[in-house]
Amino acid sequence: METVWPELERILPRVRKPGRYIGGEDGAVVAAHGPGVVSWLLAYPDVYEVGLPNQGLQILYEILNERADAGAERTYAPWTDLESEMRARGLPLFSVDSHRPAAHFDVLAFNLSSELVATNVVNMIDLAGLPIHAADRSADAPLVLVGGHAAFNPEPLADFIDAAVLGDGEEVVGDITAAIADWQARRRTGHVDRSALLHALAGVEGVYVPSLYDVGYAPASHDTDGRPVPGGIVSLAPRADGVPIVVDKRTVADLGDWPYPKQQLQPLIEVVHDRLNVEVFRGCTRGCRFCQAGMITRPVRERPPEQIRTMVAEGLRRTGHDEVSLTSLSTADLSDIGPVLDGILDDRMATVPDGADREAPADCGVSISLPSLRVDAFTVGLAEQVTSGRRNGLTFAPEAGTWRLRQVINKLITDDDLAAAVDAAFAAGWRRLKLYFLIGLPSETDDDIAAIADLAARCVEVGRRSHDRASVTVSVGGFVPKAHTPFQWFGQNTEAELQRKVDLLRRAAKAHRGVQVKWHDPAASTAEGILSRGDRRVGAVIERVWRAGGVFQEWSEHLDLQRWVDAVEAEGLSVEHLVYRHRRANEVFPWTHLSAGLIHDFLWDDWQAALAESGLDDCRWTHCYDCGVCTGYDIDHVVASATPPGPSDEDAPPGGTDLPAVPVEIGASRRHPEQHPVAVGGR
Amino acid sequence: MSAVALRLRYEIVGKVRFVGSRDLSRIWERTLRRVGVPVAYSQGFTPRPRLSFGLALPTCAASSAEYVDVRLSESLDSWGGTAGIGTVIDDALPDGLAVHAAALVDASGPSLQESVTAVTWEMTDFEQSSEQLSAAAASTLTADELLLERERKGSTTVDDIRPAIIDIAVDAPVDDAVDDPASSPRVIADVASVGRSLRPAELARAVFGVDDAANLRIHRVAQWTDGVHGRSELLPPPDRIRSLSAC
Repeated sequence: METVWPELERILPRVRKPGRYIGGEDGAVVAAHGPGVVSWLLAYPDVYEVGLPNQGLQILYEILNERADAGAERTYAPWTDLESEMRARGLPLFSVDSHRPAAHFDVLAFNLSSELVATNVVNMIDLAGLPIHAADRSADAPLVLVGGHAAFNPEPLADFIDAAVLGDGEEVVGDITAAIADWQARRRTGHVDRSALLHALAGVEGVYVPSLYDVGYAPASHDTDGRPVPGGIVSLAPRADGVPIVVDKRTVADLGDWPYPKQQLQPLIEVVHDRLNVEVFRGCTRGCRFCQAGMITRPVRERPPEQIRTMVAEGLRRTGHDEVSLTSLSTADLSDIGPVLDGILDDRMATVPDGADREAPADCGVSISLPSLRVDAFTVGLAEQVTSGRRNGLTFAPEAGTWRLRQVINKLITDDDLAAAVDAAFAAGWRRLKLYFLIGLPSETDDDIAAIADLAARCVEVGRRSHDRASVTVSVGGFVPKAHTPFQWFGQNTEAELQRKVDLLRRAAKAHRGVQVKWHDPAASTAEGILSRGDRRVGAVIERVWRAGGVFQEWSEHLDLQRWVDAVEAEGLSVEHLVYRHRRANEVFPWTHLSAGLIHDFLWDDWQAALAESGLDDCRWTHCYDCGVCTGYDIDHVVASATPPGPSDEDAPPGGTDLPAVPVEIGASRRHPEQHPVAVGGR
Repeated sequence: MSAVALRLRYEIVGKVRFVGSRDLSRIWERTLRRVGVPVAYSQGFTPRPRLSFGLALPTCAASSAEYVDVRLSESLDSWGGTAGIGTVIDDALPDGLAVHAAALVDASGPSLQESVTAVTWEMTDFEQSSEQLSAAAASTLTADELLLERERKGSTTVDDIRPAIIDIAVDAPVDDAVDDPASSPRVIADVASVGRSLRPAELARAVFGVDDAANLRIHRVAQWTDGVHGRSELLPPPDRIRSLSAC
C-alpha cells in the first residue's frame, strides 16, 4: 500500500473541511522514494490550517527535496472527525502529498511550535501504526524526531521520541540524512541495530538522543499536609562514550545563504496567516526576559536587503498574494527597514501600467505587515507607510502595566513612549488599538494589574483627541516561565491567582469607557506550565491525558485541565512541584544538559537584575553582556547598522528624536490568546 | 464600451473537488491576479474582485460544466482573444481545474444563476442493480408528485419535487468499469434549476432511497439555458472549443 488515497477518497465526504487532507498546493513537490533516498515525513501536530503556513516546516521540505539523497512529504494532525473514521477503518496516518502511509517513511519529524501539542504528537505516532514508546519500536521503524522552539525542553516527550533537534534546521537535516543513509547501507550488509543509529545521531551536532542519558532523582517526600513531593533531578549523564555531556544547538551563521522557502506553499483552502511570508532576520537581542524565542535564537542574523526585496517581488508574482508579512521577532529593528520598504513599494508600483488608477487594488494593492516589538512613533510611521486605505487594527505589546514591572521584564517602554505611539497611530487613522499584556509576571502586585486598566484608559483618552469612538482592547495572557530564559527559576502563578488577576483587571476596566478586556484561559496556562518545565516523568502524564482522549489541547473546546491534574497526581507528581514552585539557585533543570548557548551565569545574573528592577540594553547596538552565544559558537550578529533604525533628522517629529527604542507589535502575527487556533474554526 | 464579462466554462475533478465553494472562489481570485487578468473591482471600503459563480456545486462533487463570470476592467485585445486568455488561465490553475471554454458576455445581461434553467447530473456507486434503479426511475417519471421532506435553517418542509425532475436515465456499467463486476450502473438526471434547487443527494434519496449520499460519486455534466431554438449549454462542451476559437 503506497497510497491510502482510494480509501481516503471514500471517507472525505463524511468529514468537515475535506480540503485539509488533499495536498495539491502550488509549490508542493513529488518526492522520489526508493533505495538511496532517505524519506522524511515532516509533521505538524495541529490541524492543517494552522500547520500549513509554518515556515520552518516549509523550509525543511524544500531543502530536503533539493537533495539527491532525501525526499520529504508533509502531514498534519487529522481533525477528530477524520481520526474516528480512520481508526474505524484501520487507515493509518498519511502524507498529504502522495497520501503515503506514515510508517513507510524513514523519518517522522515533528515541528513543535508549542508545548500543548504533546498529546497530538503521541496520537500521530499511534495513528502512524507505531508503538508510542521509542523503546518498543523495531529497528526499521521510522525514526521519530522533534524540532522547533518547544524542543528546547524535549524531556516530557523523551519516552516517545528517538531524538530532538535543537536550533536552526537548515544544515542539520542534511547531517541527519547522511547518518541515516550510512546506517541503512551498513544494515544491508551486516547486523547493525537501531542503537547504532541512535549513537550515530548523538554524534551529530545539535541532535539529542534522550535514551542515551540517565536521569537521577532525589527520593520523594511529603509535605506537611501529607501530599507527595516528588524528588528533584540530581543527575543527568550520558550512558556511553561518544555521547556528549551537553548538546549544543545548531545555528546558521548567515541567513543570506538560505533564501528559503523559495516556493512558499500556496494552499487550496484558507489557512491562518494566508499571505506571503519573508523572514527578514532571525534572532533577537532585545532581551525581554520572559521571551524564550528571543533567548534561544540568538544572535541576530539579518537577511541582505537585496535578497529580501527579491524574495518579496518573486513571491508576490508567483503566488498572486496581495499581502506580505516581513517576519522576524521584531521587524522594525531591521537595520535597513526604511529602504527595504521603499524598495518593495517601488517594485509594486513598477508593475502598475501607465494611466492605471494607482489606488485600485487590482493594480498595486499589496499590504505589508510588520510584526514588531517596538512601541514608538517611528514604528507607527512604518505601519503608516505600508498600509493604504483600511487601517483596521494596530497592536502594541507593552506586556506590563507599570514602568517598574517593565524594567523587571526588560521591556523598556515608558508610559510616555506608549502615549506617543498611540497618539501617532490614532492621528494616522487607526481607530482600534490592541494592547497585549502578560499577567503573573515576577514581582507583580495588584497595583501593576490595576495600572493595565489605567494605561488603556489613557490610550483611549489620547485616541479621542482624533476620533470620538477610539477604542482599545486589552488582551492578557498568563505568563508561563520557559526553559533557557532568565525567568526559568520563577514559580508560575497558580490557576486561581491568574483568574483572580483577570477578574481584578476586568473590574478595573469597567470604570473606563472604550476599554475592553480579553483574556487567555488560566487553565490553559497551567497545562502549558506542566509541559514547559516538566521532566521525563511528565511523559507518563502526557500518555494518560492522551489515553483519556485529550488531543488538540491548544483548542479551548478540547482542553480539560482536570485531566492533566488527575494524571499528574496518578503519577505521584504534583502541579505545585512542576509549575508553581520557585526553583532553587542550584536547581538541576531537566534541560541542564541542553544548551542554547546561553551560559548559566548570564541567565542567573539577568534574573537577579530583573528582581532588582534593572533593565538591560540591546547588545546589537551597545556592548556585549556575555550571554555566551556569539563567543561560545564563534559566530556574530549579522547586522547592517550599528545603530537602531529610527527617523532621520529631517523626518524627526517635533519635540526631538530621542524617543527610546521601544517594544511593540504592529500587525498581528504573534500568536496570542485570541489568535489561538480556536479562531480558525473546525466546527 | 458597455461592461463586459469573461465567461469561463471549467472542469473540476480529482482531489481539488474536496475544496469548498468559498475556497474555490479564492483560488479563482488568486489565479486571475497571478496571470494579470484585468478584473474589475467592486466599489466601497473593501473592494472585491467582481467574480460571479453560478449554482454552487456540492463539495466533493466533480463537474465538467462549471462556470464563472469575470467582470473586466479593460479589453482583452492584447491577450489573443478569449481563447488566448483561456489558455493562460488554464495553465495557472491548480491540478484538477481546467478551462474548457471562454467567451465574452454582456455584463448587464442575465447572471449565471438567472441563465441556468436545468442541470444534468451523473451519479454512480449505487448499491442497487441497474434493473432496480431503472424501475425506481420509471415509477418516478410516471408519478404525478414526489414528496420529499427537507430541512432548511432548522425548519422542516415537505415539498413536491416531481416538477423539478425533467428526466432520469439509467445506464449499465460503462467503459473501463466493465471488467469490474462490482461496478455500479450510472444514473443520469436532468433537473430543473428554477425555484428552490433540488440537490443531487436529495434526488438520490427521494427517487432511489439512498440514505447516505456520501457513498455516491456525483458529477455535474451540463448546465442548460433556454433559447429560441430550445435549450443549449451556456458554453459549448470541450470537444467544440477548437472550432469556436477558430471563428
